[in-house]
Amino acid sequence: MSVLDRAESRPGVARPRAEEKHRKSLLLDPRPQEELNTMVLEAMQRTGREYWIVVGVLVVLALAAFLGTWLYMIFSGMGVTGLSRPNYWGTFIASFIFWIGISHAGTFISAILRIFSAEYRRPITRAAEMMTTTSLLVAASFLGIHVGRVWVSYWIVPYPNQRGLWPNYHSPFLWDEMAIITYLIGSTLYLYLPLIPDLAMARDRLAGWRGKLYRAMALGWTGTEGQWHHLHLAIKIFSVVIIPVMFSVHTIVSWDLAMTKSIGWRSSIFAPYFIVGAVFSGLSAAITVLLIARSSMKLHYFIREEHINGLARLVLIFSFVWTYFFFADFLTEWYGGDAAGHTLITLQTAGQMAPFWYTMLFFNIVVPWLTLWNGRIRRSPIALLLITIGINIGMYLERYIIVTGFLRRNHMPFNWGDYTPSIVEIGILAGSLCTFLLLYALLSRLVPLIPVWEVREGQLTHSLRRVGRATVPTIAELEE
Amino acid sequence: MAEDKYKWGMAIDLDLCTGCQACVVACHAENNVPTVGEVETTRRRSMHWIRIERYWHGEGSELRAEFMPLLCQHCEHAPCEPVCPMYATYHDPNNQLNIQVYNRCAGIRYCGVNCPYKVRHFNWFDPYFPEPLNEQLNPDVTVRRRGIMEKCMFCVQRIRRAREEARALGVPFDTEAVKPACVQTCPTDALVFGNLLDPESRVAQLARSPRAFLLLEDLGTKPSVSYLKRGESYVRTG
Amino acid sequence: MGSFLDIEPSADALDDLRSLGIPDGDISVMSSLPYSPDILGRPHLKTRLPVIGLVAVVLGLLAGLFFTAITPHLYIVRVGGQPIVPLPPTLLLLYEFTMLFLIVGTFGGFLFLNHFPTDKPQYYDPKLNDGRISILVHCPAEKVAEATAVFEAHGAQDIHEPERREL
Repeated sequence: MSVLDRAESRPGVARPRAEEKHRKSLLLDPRPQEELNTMVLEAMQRTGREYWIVVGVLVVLALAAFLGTWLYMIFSGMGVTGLSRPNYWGTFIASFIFWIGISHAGTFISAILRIFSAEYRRPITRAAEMMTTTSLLVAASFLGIHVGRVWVSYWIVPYPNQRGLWPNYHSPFLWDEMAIITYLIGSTLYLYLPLIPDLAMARDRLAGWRGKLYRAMALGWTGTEGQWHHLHLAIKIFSVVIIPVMFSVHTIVSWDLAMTKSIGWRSSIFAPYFIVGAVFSGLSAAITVLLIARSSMKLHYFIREEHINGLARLVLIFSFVWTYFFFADFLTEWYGGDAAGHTLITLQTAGQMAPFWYTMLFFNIVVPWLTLWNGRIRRSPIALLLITIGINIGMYLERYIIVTGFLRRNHMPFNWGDYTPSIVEIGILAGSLCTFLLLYALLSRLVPLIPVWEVREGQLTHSLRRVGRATVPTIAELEE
Repeated sequence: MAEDKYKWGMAIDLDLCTGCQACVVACHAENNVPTVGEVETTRRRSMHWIRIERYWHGEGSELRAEFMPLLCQHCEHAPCEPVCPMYATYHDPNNQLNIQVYNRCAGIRYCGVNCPYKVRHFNWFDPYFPEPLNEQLNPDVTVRRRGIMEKCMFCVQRIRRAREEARALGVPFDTEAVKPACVQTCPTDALVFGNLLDPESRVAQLARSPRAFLLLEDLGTKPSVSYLKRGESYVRTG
Repeated sequence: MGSFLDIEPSADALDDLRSLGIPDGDISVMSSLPYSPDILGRPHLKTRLPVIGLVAVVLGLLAGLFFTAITPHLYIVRVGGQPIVPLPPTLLLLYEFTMLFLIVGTFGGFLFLNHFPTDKPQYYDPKLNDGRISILVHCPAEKVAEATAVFEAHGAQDIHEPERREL
């Protein structure tokens, strides 16, 4: 029996009240590893009737709204959208930026929180990384959707061809391509590396097609010191490297807009502004997804108030930072901007985009600032679900305003024009959400959602200690 | 055979332009530009490579209209060129033209977003040439399908043909004789075309005129099209 | 011989095994959690992973240079009045290519150094995942009895001659 197990099963000893309070924290509430393994594997294999109904609905919606509409657009032409001159870019690019933004949550939680030794990241890193991979796939598909001739879009890949022509690296789209490929490969591998020991655990306990799958995916992991050492080092390198990659991805995506001559887009603040917006919307989406996953997979032991609370606090902080960047951008244009820029200010505050603009401010500033400072609200799943969904609506509107709103005005008033998304574009956006949820639902049943070894490692390092009259949690430094 | 260098440019005299739109029609005919129909035109998807921009000035009996033909400015520092990932638009070094390569275009529309003059057009649907318009198509120019950006190229097919004919006949290439469709058709001779590298050409002289200005010059695009300021002009309504 | 212990007894057992004269290299420790070598009294391992990462960085820089500085010269196309090899985008792409190669190189190095993926039967016990620590000792026949005694003294379970098994 381990040290930890022995401590809690001593018979006849009454637990002091302070310890009861501390038991609410996952890392101070250890259970035998066998039990944790069973819980996680059961959650993974829980595919009841409800699950299949949800998956079935998502498949139908994804096929119809996403794939079907997209194919219709490919064969009819981009004219079925609401795009026109000068609004050459519309909801597709706004959605693309939005989904890339969602992907930043995973890296933030699993890399940045790991580097800062924020212990509450332990059970949620994998669920967050899975969000990154799925949302990146959806985002990448939007690039294909937005293109007029998707069947030749493979020319963006650099390969020697009989024309002798290589892609144009002057173009921010090429920077996009390299950044997104790097980030996709990086975050998938970063999802996979810490997964290997858990896959080995699943391999040992499950038979049938799952056993075969995990045997292949676990690569022959046995847990020797050498393997752990390499894994540990590789994860450390990854967590340091993936952070600048994450920053560069959304920076480059924002530069798709900032490198143009369009009014309102040509802003040097776009790079950090978009990164902050991305982490803001990503963390909110992570809370939404975690709450749904927790209740549908009965993971209440692992994902507790403290984790949701920790993430919600971060969401509030990022709301502040986002507001700072938003205000800086707005103030600069309002104060000294030229006439062309001022048409955009009017457009947002009193013109066509005003309903969207005020809704965005409501969801991104008013709601979080009024609610997330309160610990009780932060610990309430229903409240957080509503708040975080609202934040993502607000952040989508922000992308919508910037991409589709600002293109409506330019330097020559004869060429101003309005834009309304057509049913095709709305359908594809809704379909992309269904596809994301579908991919996530499928993945969550294929891969253990909670990194048991990381949770257990955390439980090993956490203990209770008496300091004066109080019993306080202590965290040991056990890493090399 | 050495490649001679040209810098094709245009001068547009706003005093002479009456807004008759003959240039628009001529361009459609020469370059196989489709007409998109009434509905699509209301959605601002018409594909006039050259268009007449009309601005109203004044009120009541002082109301007057001012016309400005707007076509691709063939900027030296074209903002549309670096942003295309496929190199589908580039600067022809020998003719100093901004060329659009149709078969390379994937329809990303980044160039359309970046053009400050908004002179680039996109094929939102497949072009439709109702009979007998399909018999009038110019064999020198590709017909584009849906998903491809297109724009004015100073009728580069006419430039090439004139140069090749001169070479075939063994005579020097007379750059003053080359006229794109719009220039050829303009009834008031408001559009002047030629080689800006030749200081004696009509277009170079007009570009040096004190009335000459460049559109959106402060954006740094260095367009090859000069506009000549108009005097007073009146179109009375009612 | 394989056996299963917890942290304290494992560390004690390892000390005793070492005092029996069995070198550290002949002892293999398997676990379901990463224990730092100091905890169990094991030697620190050196690894070539950082070197592989460095090689990957260099390859990434070269690949980036190829795509951004060499391919434009293979078919020269002038765009926007910019130079054929523009400096800021080139630096940006060098960074991206370097990161990509570093990521893939680190992962590849991880696979290579661990000899992954492997199908061969390994010394293993699935009960590892319940939190136990398994110690495998290679020793000459005469020391087997003493080693077994050490295991038993520290409360090990499942002491047996190890066999390679399908995972």
